[in-house]
Amino acid sequence: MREGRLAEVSRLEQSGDLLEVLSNRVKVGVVARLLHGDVDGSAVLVEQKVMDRALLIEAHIKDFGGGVVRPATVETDSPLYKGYKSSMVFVQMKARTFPGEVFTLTFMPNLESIRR
Amino acid sequence: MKSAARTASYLHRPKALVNRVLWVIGVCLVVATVAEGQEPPIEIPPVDRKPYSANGFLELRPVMIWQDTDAALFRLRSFTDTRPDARTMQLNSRLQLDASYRRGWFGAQTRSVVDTGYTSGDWTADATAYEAYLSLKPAPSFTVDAGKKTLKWGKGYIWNPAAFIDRVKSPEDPALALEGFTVVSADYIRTFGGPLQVISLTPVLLPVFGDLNQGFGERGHLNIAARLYLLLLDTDIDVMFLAGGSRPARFGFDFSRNLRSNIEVHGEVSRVPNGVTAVLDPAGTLVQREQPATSIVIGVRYLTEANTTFIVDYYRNGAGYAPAEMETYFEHIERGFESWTVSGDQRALSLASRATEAGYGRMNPMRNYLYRRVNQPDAFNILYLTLGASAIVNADDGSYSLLPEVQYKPIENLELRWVANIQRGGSRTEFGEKQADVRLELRVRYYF
Repeated sequence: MREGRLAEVSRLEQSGDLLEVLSNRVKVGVVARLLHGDVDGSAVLVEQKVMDRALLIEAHIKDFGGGVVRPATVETDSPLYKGYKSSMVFVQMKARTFPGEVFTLTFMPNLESIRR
Repeated sequence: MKSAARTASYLHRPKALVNRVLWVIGVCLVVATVAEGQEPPIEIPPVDRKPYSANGFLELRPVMIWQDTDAALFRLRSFTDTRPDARTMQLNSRLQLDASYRRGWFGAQTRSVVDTGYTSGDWTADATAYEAYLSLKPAPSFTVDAGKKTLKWGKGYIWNPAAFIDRVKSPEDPALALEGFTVVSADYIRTFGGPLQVISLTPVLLPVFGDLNQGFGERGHLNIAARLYLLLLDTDIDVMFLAGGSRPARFGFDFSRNLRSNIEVHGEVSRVPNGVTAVLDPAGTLVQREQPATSIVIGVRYLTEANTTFIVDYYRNGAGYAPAEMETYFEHIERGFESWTVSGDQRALSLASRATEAGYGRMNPMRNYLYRRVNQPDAFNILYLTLGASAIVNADDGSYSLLPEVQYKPIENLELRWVANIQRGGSRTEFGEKQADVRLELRVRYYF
């Protein structure tokens, strides 16, 4: 069963420099990819379950240099975890190119090996 | 002197006053920033990635079992166990340690499990390496692994007839780590544009010599297996085979496809052309029956908007026993138990014990089964509370097993899980003749 395929964005709204994504069972990695393309996974430390039905607010677009323009922080809150907020802070972003083989089911158990 | 001191004090006063005013303004700015919800900037230290990692869990698992003293399998057990209790209390514990090391092309991974158990005055302990293998990854498209590992073939939730070199999953916890076999395997991956997006090949060598992989099958064989994976028209498809002699040769395929983002269908088929099944005939002889066996799993997984997951799997066990054959087996135990208790004759029960080990005692030994599961995370809007229930129904004799469960994570890294297994059925049915009527288990697991 490919859980990654259950990812579904139920609402996506642009308002000024804020992009709001109301996720529906979206893994944090998937959300991050939806928003920013490839990201350095080591900076994404939010537990998956907190992301369930979480309201994701993206802000603070930053030029990391080398043509990489990405949000420097991503903030979430959850209807279940009232009063709490999660912040993901992206630092030391560097563009990397991966071959298509990395994004396959067979390679999935080895994903850890591409992190630096 | 006094005048000079006053003069100095006067001269320093404006500087001290300015400092005080600046400090107050600074505090006001910080308070105003925090009040507006903008936290002061935080310095993020660079991520120092180590080449090794180690984690795992420690688990305590008290279990209470209410036995069915009239059930055939309880009577069979009473033949070998001199002190069968109508109610059994067990205290189990498990320590699982996962460790890995990666540097460049090279990687090593282990999963070790230490189990201890206490039942009716007896202590048991067992330490097993579930996985321990080395990996070479010269490129993302090519990986070679050597050592003990699980391959996790198949798409079914609890039944995987196409998982030719994996052990059988536990219906009470299908996600539980399984012990692997010692293999040499490789993965070669290619990606394309067009309807065929990915193709990968996984050849496997599995030697069974001496003590190596002795639980797999007949010794003295080098077994060969392979799996071809295709991502074709957005559908995952695997085609696999196993040959070599330790087990009868077999081939099969599986598939998985998301019809929508929240509906997935999956299936497995395996064919054993020269399958061998041990059958107990009415005359009281255990014979080996050679017949081809085709096993099928077909299932669907559905996720609702409320985050509820429903899973339904149908399993056709091609090597399974017909209802009449299972009745013969249970009848044999009943007759043997009577002979043993009346005249001390052990021959019939000894034969029944051999039949149990040869196939009748394996998990789900009959032909047609239905599995249903519902799972609700964050139930009643309580974060980290998961309610679930599953049922395994034997469609041939109508007996069933119900498994309600509650899981809760009160604090970080601590998981509590309560699960029951209620087995019901008529006389001479699979779940009706199981030795346990009800089994209650509490699992306390701490991750580190």
